Amino acid sequence: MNRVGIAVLGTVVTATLTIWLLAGCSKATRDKILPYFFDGFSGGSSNPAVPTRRIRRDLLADIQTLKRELVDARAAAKAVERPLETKPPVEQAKEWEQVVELLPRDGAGRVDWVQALKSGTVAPRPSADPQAPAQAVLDLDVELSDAGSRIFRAVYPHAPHTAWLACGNCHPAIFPLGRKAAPAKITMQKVRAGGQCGVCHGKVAFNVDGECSRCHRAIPAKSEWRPTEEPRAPMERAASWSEAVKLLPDALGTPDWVQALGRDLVKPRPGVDPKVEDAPQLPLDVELVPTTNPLFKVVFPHAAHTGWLTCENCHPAIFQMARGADPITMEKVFAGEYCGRCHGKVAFELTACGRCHPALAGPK
Amino acid sequence: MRPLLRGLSAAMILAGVLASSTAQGVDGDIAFKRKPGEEGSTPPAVFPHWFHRIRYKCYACHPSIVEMKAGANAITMDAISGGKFCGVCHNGKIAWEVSFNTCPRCHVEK
Repeated sequence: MNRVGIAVLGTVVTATLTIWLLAGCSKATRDKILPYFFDGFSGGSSNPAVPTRRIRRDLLADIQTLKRELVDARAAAKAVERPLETKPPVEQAKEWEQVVELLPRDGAGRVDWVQALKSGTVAPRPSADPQAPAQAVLDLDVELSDAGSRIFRAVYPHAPHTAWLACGNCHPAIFPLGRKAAPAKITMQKVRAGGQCGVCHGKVAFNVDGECSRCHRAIPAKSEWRPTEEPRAPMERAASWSEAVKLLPDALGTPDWVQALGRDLVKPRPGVDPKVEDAPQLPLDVELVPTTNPLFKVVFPHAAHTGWLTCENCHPAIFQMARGADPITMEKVFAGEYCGRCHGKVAFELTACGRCHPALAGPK
Repeated sequence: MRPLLRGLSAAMILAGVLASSTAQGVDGDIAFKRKPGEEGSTPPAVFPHWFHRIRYKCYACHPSIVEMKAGANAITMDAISGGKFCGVCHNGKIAWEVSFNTCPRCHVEK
């Protein structure tokens, strides 16, 4: 028994001594040996706080992963549900005629796609991938100045454009970017020819005709103007020339403005300023007799002319005051000189020969 | 010689008639033209003379507001919005004001 007891004691003492000796060794030796004997002793690191932190970090990472998966799962579930929940009625339409009935219109009566998007009438998806996020809208207005004019500067709003388009749709191919890129001058000529803004506008975006104020904002209409004065003559109600001409007396196929004035069918104001008074008519007929052919005598009635015009409209720029000072010929008149300054344009046609040449008037 | 002269002057008169009847649309309307190289821009304005003459006598505008000669008036939108030419009346007081909402009233595609 004693020998067994001594052997056991010897072994225990030896083991204790060995461990004690080893523990007293350098850190490297201890780290190398001790993990063989004891569980939970991690070699390589002597700091006991690290394992705890690492475990906590792992747990936090797991939580984050789970959270992310939950968000993704919810989003996926929503994406599956979305077509049923938010598909706008416009998407049910099969024909353009049906679609156009549902879409908002702009001032010119055309489809206003920006408003359609804003109002939710259309809800276009950003991608075929249901989980793809929509591009952020860039709320940046750019003023495009016109060096030649005070009023023609335009405002380009990125916001409604980036609600439909990606940056790369326009930059840099259509509109170069960057300091080194020299942007081409934007002109209505180029736009209307299908360049610059005209790549879309006039095709898939609003047309430039009649939509000026959507880009050019320098002089907006303050209010819809209404005439403050009652029409002075029925003809002032005419909305078109075809309506007006029906109310005008006819002389040899052309409107007789002189008769219209004499019969009060028109009552034109003498001046822009309502205080301006009408100038008196001059009752003076002037006979112009060609020396080569006295038959073509002309009678010029000042009265008919001064009903519409003042002396300085014609004298002395068009007709000198001295009789016979102007070499008037029909060729020159047809070329737009002398009487031709008005006749054939705003006064009766030059084919109404008899109105000036009594000999050509024919039987009355 | 005389028939030849008569024929010539008749031809000139006919040419004149054709020119005067094709140059205008409605009686007396003035269809402005773009400067060479600027064609295809916003349509140039058309001034309806008839609409104005049934309201105002010739001398209400000529020559104090607009010279009575084609090309003699440097009409620009800046000048108009500054109260010159059409802007004497088209200011929202005497007549509707010129704005970017009213462009197509004058600038009509022909």
